[in-house]
Amino acid sequence: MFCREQVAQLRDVEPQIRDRGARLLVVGNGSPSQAARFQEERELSFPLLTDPDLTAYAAAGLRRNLGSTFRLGVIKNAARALSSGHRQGSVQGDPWQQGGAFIFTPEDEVLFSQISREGGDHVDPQELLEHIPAG
Amino acid sequence: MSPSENTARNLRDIEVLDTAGEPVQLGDFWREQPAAVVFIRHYG
Repeated sequence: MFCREQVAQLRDVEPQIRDRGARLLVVGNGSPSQAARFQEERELSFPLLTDPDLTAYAAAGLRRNLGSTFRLGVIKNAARALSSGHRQGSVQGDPWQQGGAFIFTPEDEVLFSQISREGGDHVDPQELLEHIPAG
Repeated sequence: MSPSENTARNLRDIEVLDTAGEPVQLGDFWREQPAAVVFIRHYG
């Protein structure tokens, strides 16, 4: 699963992100208890937050992979369906929701922005690191 | 201005949940230092 791969890669570069005086924050969209379990299993030292109703995903301009039907109502319905247990197999969170990565400064500057278009199209941790100003 | 230039401001007041289910404001994470914010597709 590429998501595990992505988190493992992020875990590997997290010390370097800290060395540059920045911090890493990961947002998913399962339930808090899923996030807690995931954080414990993966021994993550950075905050793992969750956005079950996909408000932050939508505000970040991140796609759901349903062509042109990107509407908040659709997202809310999907989140409700998922939170009431209508999900497949071991997928936790909304399987249609795409990810992305950003670097923000205290002045609300956006130093890096990547919005994924399809599954597996996720940020290269080294590329992320390169966009963080040293020290 | 492209949408990405507003993303920090679009997100800073939004609340998400920590692993205890408590609301936290996203902007708190880049108030003191830069932050790399990664949205993953799901936990799996």
